This record gives sequence, C-alpha cells and structure tokens, in this order.
Amino acid sequence: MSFLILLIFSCSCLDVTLKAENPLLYQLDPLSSTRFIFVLSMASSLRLYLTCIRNTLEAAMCLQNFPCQEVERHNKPEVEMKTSPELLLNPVVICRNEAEKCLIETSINSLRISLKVKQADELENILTKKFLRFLSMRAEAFQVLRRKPVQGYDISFLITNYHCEEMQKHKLIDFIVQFMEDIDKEISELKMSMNTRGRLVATEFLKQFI
Amino acid sequence: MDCKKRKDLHPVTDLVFASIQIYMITLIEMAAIAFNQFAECVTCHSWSPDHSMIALCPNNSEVHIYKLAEENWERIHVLQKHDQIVAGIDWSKSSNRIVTVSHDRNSYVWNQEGSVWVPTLVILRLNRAALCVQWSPKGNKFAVGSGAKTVCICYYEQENNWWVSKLIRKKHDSSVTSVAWHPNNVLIATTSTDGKCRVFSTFIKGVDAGKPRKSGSGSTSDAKFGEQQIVQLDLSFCWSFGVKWSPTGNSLAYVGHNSMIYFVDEIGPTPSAQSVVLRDLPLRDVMFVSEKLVIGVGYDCNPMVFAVDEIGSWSFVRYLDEKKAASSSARYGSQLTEAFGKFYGSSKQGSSNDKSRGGLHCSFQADTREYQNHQLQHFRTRWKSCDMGFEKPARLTRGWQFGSQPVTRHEPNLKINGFGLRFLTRQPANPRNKRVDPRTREINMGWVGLLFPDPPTREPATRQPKPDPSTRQPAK
Repeated sequence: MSFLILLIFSCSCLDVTLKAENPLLYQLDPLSSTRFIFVLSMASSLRLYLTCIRNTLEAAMCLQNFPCQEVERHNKPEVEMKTSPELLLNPVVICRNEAEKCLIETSINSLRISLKVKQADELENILTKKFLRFLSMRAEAFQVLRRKPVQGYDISFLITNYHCEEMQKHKLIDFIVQFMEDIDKEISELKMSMNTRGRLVATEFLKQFI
Repeated sequence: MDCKKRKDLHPVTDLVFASIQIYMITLIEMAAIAFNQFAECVTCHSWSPDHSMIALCPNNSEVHIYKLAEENWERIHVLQKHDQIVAGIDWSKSSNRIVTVSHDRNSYVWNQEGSVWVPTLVILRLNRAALCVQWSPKGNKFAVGSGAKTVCICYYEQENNWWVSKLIRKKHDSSVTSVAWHPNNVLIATTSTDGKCRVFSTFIKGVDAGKPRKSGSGSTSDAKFGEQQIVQLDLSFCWSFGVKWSPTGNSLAYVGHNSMIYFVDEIGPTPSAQSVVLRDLPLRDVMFVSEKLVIGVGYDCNPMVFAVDEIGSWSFVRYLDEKKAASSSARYGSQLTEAFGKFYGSSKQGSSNDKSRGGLHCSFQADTREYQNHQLQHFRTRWKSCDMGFEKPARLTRGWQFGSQPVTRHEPNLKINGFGLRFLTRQPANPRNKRVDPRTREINMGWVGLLFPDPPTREPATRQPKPDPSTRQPAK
C-alpha cells in the first residue's frame, strides 16, 4: 500500500518547496491510503498552510456531473455515498500541528473538506464549538457547508459538481481559505471580548463590597 | 506499463465558464474565432453535417438547436422529450439525424420532417444513466456508453420502427465515459472510470454487410460482436475519458484524470503506447485535427495542442489561447480583434500563473468536434459558464463586446447578527497584485498526482522538450 508523507519546509511563505518524500521513514499506517502532508515552518506558517490547502483544493476540484452507479435515476455525491471505491481518490490530510489539520476527500463528482480548528484552552474549545455549531445550523445560507462535521473535525464543507457549475472555482477556493483565515481571528476576538466582559462584570460586582 | 514520462509543460490554470468557443486552426495560426454565450452551462453539443447549426444541451433536459444567421446565433428548435439532464448529443455526419442520450436511461433518434424534429424511441434496455453517444461513420449504428457498465450498440429495425440495441456486458468494471468509432464502422473504443481503454468489435449480422475488411491498425480477424475484446489498455492509474481515433484509425488517444494523455499506435495484439504527463489540471477530452496533431481540452480551460514528430514521439506544443493579439489583428476583422485584444490583454497580465484569474473564467466541461473548410480546420469546444461569486465577472457579451453583466444571483450580503462574519462581505484581494513564485505552481502539479492511488514517478521538469526515441515503448 503506498503511503506518502510530504514535509514542507520554508523560509518565506510563498517559497514552498518540496523537500522530503520518504515513504519508508514515515510509514505510520500501512493499511491506509491516506496521504499526509505536514507543513513545518519557522515563520508565518499559516500562510504556508493555507497555500498548501489552496493548491490541493485546486487540484482536487476537477468535478463533473456523474450519475449514481448503484441506484437508477439518482445523482448523489460519491464522497458521501462511498459505494464505488473506484470513484474515490485518496484522501489528503494537511497538518500544521496536532490541533490544526485539514482533511480533503475527493471523488468524481464531489469533494469534502473537513477542518480542525486550533483550540488552546477550555474557553476556546467552548467558543469554537458554539460558533461552528451556529454556522452549521445555517448551512443552507453558505451552500457548501455541511450540516454535520466529519468525525474528528470541527467543520466540514461539501462541494459538488453543481456548486462548480454555478460558482467560479477559484472563488470557492478563496472562500474556504478566507474562512480558515478568519475563523482563528474570530475565535480569538470572541475570547478577548469574553475576558473583557468578565473583568467588567467582576469589577461591577465587587464594587458593592467596597 | 512502463512508459517514459514527459514533463515539459508550462503551467496555466483553471477557468470556469460557459459557452462555446470556436477555434479556427490553420497550420500556423490558431485563435478563437467566435465566442458565444449560449447558456449558463453547456453539458454537450454537436454540429450539424454542414456546420451551420449546433445542437446543445443547456444543462437541463432540453436540447436546443441554434443556427448561425449573420453573425448571430438564433435558437430555431427546442427538443423536449427527456426528463433528466441530457448527457450526450451526436448529429450524424452521413444522415440528418440527431441522437440524444440522457441520465433518465433513455435515448431518442430525431429525424427532421418538414420543420419539426420527430423523435424515435431507442430500446436501450439500460437500468442506469446513459452517459455518451456517437454515430458510426456510416450512420447505420450508434454506440451508447452507460453508467450500467455496458455499451449499447443500436441499429434500426424496420418492421417495428424503432432502434434496438445489442449490449456489450460484463466487460467494463465501471461507468463507460466515452465511446469512439473506428473509421471502418466496426471497431469501437471505450474509456471507463475503471481507468482502462478497451477496443471492441461490433459486427452485427444484417447491418454490416459481409465480413469487415481488415483494418489497417490491427487484427479484426475474429469480429464476433462484443466477444472479442481486441485490446485492453491499462495505462491510466485513474479514470479515463475522451477516447478518439485518428482520422485513418491507426492510432488512438485518450486522457486519464491523473493529468496524463495517452497515445496508442498499432492497435492489435502488440500495441505501442506513449504517455505524456501534464503539469496542469487533467484533460477531459481530445480531438484529432489530423494524423499528427491532437488537441486536448480539460479543467485548465485552455485547449492544449499536442503533435507528433518524425520519429513518432508525441509532445506538448502549446496552449491554444496563448496567442498574441497583434498577430490576430493582421488576419481577422477589426471589430473582432478589438475584442480579442481586450481578451488577450486582460489574460496576459502578470505571469502565466495569474492568467486564469485575470480575464475570462472558464472551466471546461466536455468535447470537441472538427470540420474541414478549405484549408482551415475549425475546432469547437464546449465551455461551461459560471458566474457566481462575490463579485461580478467580466464577460464577453454578444457582438464581440467585452463588458460586464450584472449578476444578481448569489450575491451574499450575509451578516449574521452578533458575530459579523466578515469573510462573507470582504472582497478577496486581487490575485493579480500578488507575486506568485513559479515553484508554487510546480508543487500544485505534484498535488494532482498526490490524489491518485499510484502516482507515477516524475522526472524533473525540462523546459525544452527533446525528442527521445525511448518514449516509444511497447505496451503491456
């Protein structure tokens, strides 16, 4: 079973070069065909991580209308059904660190992107959960958002050939990448305002004892 | 199959668009000669034998027939009979008949009687969607590839006034994505999502008179229907699409979804095959312009030209749309070139990496047809259009003008209370201003391979393709 790990080192954020490609050294799970990409970098590794995801999405988003092979007159996203293994491509996991990773599963007519968002402490954990649940409940407003995240991830997107037909491909990719960029900022802002508010409330509360 | 992989291509990228581009190809000059927005998204099309009309499916269950009248395309007929998306259309070269197949498992042959098109039922005996169709060169048979992993060879039955089919069963392991007839009217080649390309004999007693003559390319000695699988090519690691025979039937070209194009010569017991690795997104279909020139179209939205040299090795030559506006102005009319100037001007901004993001956004969907007109060959491609987004795309409108049309759909001004989702309202930065390192593209191409089960070992990119006799090696 071919198993591949790519390590990406970088000095500047756009200077992405493929350094190591050693399947023997990193053979973790020989039964899995999942490809792992670890993005390691000293500086501005978020940009690198996002560039890596953008490039993978660009290659993966070659979708076409493909009717179901199992049920007549149906047309379903193969990545969800998983009925015909020959219609699926290898899933790719892109990791920045343990807490932040992205799983991209591709099939002939659909593509699933699952994100794990960084959660440093309990508060961030709760905020992320609430925030992403809030978004998932309004999935139809986002079109490509999946109502339930894939197990082990915080939020999932499902892109089908119909989305690619009515939207521009690079805009879709921009949206996903922009989403990932903003979600961290949003969470840290929420955390900050939470702390500020907590401090304010505590001050107000303790004033009565003075 | 151990073919020498070639990697001598320059990166260009995606587009998403929708309409039909018509290319005029002379030996030196290639340019899109017409650009017409027929529909939001075109799933398949076919030209009439005299190339004055085009039948296309605007991504629904209808087939529209357009006629060219003084520079403008007019819709003259709408064929409604299917109840799901039409997946294949073919207009017979030898008789004025149209065959359509659809995801609803049905197929109709349309005959023109007076000013109306009359459908005739085809008994396909399929229980899954039909995906592709092609008339045989003589027009007495047609082949339908289906999601039921079968190929139907259909012929007319006089007594019942319908078309009946004979099935090639249990030869494919997955959906049949494309069929192509050999010029001898007997052999067909198929590609399938199991990654293989197969050649079958479709000799039907009573339809094909006499024994089929031996084709120049290989043995058809045992020409029993469907039984003899003349050759099975196992070159691709992934789904294969868009098989085509060369005009003489001596060679065969098809594409794999792992960004490869395959050329097969000497179809028979010992075929010889070559594969050319692309650095860009996969192709979707190919077309032989002549015995030595092939055009491939795919998700890069820019047709690629491949040519064979004297020693018989195929290589990538150029992109069709990389033409300078200046040279086209010398050749074609002024109004037209003005539009082209703008079109090419906008797409030439920045490096080739930025090309697709500049002007026209096209994502290719399907197929190619050709025809001869004096020394010119016209090549038509199907493009798919798309205008969503978070900004209004610039589009070519009718009459060669370049302008933007307001897009009212999908303009999200979404603001969710309390959280203020900025990423929905913020305009993405203009990618043209961004400096893109060429090496990032190179990796991107590695990504295509990464998705596939057995990525082929890739050689370092060479800018200058050198003809190498070792690229010709016999197939397995």
